[in-house]
Amino acid sequence: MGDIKHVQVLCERGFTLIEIMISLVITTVIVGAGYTVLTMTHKATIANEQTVGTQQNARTAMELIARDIKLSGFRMLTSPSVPVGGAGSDCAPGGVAAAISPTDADAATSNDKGPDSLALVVPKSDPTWTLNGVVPSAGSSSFSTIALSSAAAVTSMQTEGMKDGAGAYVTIGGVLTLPVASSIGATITFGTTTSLPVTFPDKTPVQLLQCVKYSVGTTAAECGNAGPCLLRKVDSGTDPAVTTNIVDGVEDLQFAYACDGCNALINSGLPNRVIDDFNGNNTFDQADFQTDRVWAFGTFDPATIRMVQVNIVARQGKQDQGLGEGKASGTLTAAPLQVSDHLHSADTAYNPSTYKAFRRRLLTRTVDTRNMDQ
Amino acid sequence: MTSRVSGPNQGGFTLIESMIAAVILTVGLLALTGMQSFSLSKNVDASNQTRVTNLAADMLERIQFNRRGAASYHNISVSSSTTTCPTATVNIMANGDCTQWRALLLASNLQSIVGTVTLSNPIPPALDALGLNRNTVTVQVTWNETANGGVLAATKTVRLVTVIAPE
Repeated sequence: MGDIKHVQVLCERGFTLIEIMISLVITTVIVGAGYTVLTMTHKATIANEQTVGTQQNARTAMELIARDIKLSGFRMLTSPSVPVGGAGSDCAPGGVAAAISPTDADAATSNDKGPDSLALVVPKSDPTWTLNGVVPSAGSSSFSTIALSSAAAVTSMQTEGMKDGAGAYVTIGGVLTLPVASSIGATITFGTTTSLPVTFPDKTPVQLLQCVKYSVGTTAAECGNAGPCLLRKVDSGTDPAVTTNIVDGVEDLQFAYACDGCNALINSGLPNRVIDDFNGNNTFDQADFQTDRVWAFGTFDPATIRMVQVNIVARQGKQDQGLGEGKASGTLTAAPLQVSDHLHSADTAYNPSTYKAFRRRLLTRTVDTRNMDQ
Repeated sequence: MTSRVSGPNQGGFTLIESMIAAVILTVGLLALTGMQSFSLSKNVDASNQTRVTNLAADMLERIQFNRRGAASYHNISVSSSTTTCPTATVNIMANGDCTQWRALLLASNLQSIVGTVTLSNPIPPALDALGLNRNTVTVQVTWNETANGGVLAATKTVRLVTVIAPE
């Protein structure tokens, strides 16, 4: 009896064409959906990063500017009236050296276009910049030189921008501001002789004053990227001023000032701890804040500024692509912003279709000037 | 002897199985999409928080300027429906700061925004052991975050507390 080999082959039927086509359709749908999710997630991540960046930029710019406004002051000399940074400095509105100098390119009577700028006198300090011994020295009632703790301290001040001649100023303990005539070794010689009824003690800090100007840069040359950005120009002496982009994406900067004792018609021009009532309605209201445009062309005394209202607009650096394939981004800024006295749609470069494609963040804060003086 | 060689298990997935898998995958992908819109809405929350913090700081700076009149800022409460401000006869600056602050808060367009200022050492300021004429000032702003994707609107609060001592 021979063996009968019964080989049963199971399930070798394979797929039918219909089955393959159905599975192909399902695979296509799944892969297509997956791809859409991938591109959407990628674009949403970019949009998210842009939003975060914009918000961070607005906040950083506000902190930097508010900090410098609070610090600015130090009683600039009116005679000789040479501002920090010399004759061409930004810290001399109307040719008179001042601690706070609003500037605006638009005349007081016209509509404000573009961002404002503001120059402030702020100190640069270093723990090694201190007096060596009392000033004036024992037995004398006046001085025109001071000795610092070391020659290295004077050298570092020179490196930081203090140069001989007009335009470099130091403040001794924040009390007395003097123009630097020359500096050699550990000694700084001033252009004026000071007689004092008081004596500065040993180790009083000496600070180098600098004229800091905040403005908005719009070109690639100013910003190092497509712009816009917040520029900070530092002028500390007769060295060329250095302008840096410190915050990306800052598009607009608007300032308004509340002053006490700047208007000769109000309370005989005397300060009385009440902000000058410019519109004469016996209340302190928004109209009593003089905008940069009005202030820069007025004949007000900058030393009377008591509060500064700061408005900052930051916008995203790059335009969104919109979520999904082939979709343009929607309207991200609903209407042109009105920031203080600046209506964005009034600008000559205003383009409605590109304007609305950028996300914007507006921050407003009123800052009390703690140190304001001439 | 009969030997039965059965073929390897070549059954594969059924159409039903692969469709169920597709549904599960879709649910997962939808959750990912939800995460994106969630993080975008959180960004908006963060932006609102920054704006409100600046508005609260605005009021604190105004009180700093008028620090001799700090006591008159007690119990300020402003919203779209209320304007509880000190009168101009009490303190002209406090009155102006209050109405201007209200305008700034309302201009933020945040839902149900309410700003209050309280002094824990109110009029007249009691002298403390050190004889310092000082006030603890609390500036508080509350608002509602807009409801987003099934998430209920939450009430947010920013509170700045500082001590102001008139010189």
